[in-house]
Amino acid sequence: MKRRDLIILAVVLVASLALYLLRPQAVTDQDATVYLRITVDGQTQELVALTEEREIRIEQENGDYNIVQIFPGGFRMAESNCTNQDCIHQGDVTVDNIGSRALANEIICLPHKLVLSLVTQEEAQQELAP
Amino acid sequence: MKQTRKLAFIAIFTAIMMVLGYLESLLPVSPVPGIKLGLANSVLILSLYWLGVPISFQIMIVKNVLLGLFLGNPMLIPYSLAGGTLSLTLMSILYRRRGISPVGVGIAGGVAHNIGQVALAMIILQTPSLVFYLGLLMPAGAVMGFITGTVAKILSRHFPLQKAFPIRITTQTEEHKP
Repeated sequence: MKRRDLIILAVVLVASLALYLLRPQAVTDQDATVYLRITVDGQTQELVALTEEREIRIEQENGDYNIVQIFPGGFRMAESNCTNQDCIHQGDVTVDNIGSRALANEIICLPHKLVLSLVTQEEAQQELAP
Repeated sequence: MKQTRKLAFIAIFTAIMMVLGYLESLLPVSPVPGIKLGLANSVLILSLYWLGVPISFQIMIVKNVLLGLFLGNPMLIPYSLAGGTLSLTLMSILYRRRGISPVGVGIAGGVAHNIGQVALAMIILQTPSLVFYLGLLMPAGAVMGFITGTVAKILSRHFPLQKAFPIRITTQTEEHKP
């Protein structure tokens, strides 16, 4: 390691720390209803209140599909016909674990351009407003 | 003769990088998508020092496209190209600077790879909040880059090709043309 190698390393670590400290935190209002936002190709498709247990099938025109299991306060990706299955391995998103998940409030299926996000009531209302 | 040797080296470097990329794909899935060793980058760092910038870009592009098709993930090729391009651009800027060893080049390259991929995902998925994901990916990229850079440094010490093959092969062969 030479001197400038260490400078590079220091810059990286400082930038990482800053992003880590600024990351989204757990939902503070535990009693309010939270929502699942389904986004395909950058467009919001659906906002679902996370109040009951059921499965949602997301089908795209080209045959890509994903099945999301929702439950009170959270959701998980149950099934996908994508190539890498990364979305399945990203586990559950719940109001409590956002602060400790690598992808915070999101599950992403990169090959299907699909983003599932857990959003608060205020965020959901903002989006529903015309 | 020199042209033939150069061609052989390009082919060997590309092949080694593809094999390393394939072997890594066999490792168990990491719980954090995006974190991987990227050992092929060691070979690419060597290629920078030995074969120069333009050839290294060609090797990087061929490796990423072929490996993407080979592994059955053609949808993900743009992501590896985005990471590879940003990474190699930064490494090309840094590798001949004084005070920077292959280890520093590896760290910068590993981190830049993560940034390139996440930046493309932010654009394609229109999800700016992905930027925070880098807070986790960048330290991992730095650790992996430290390893790949160190491997490149050790390799260059044990295979001192620079002697047989002074750095700028392209210009040399051109000078020797009849």
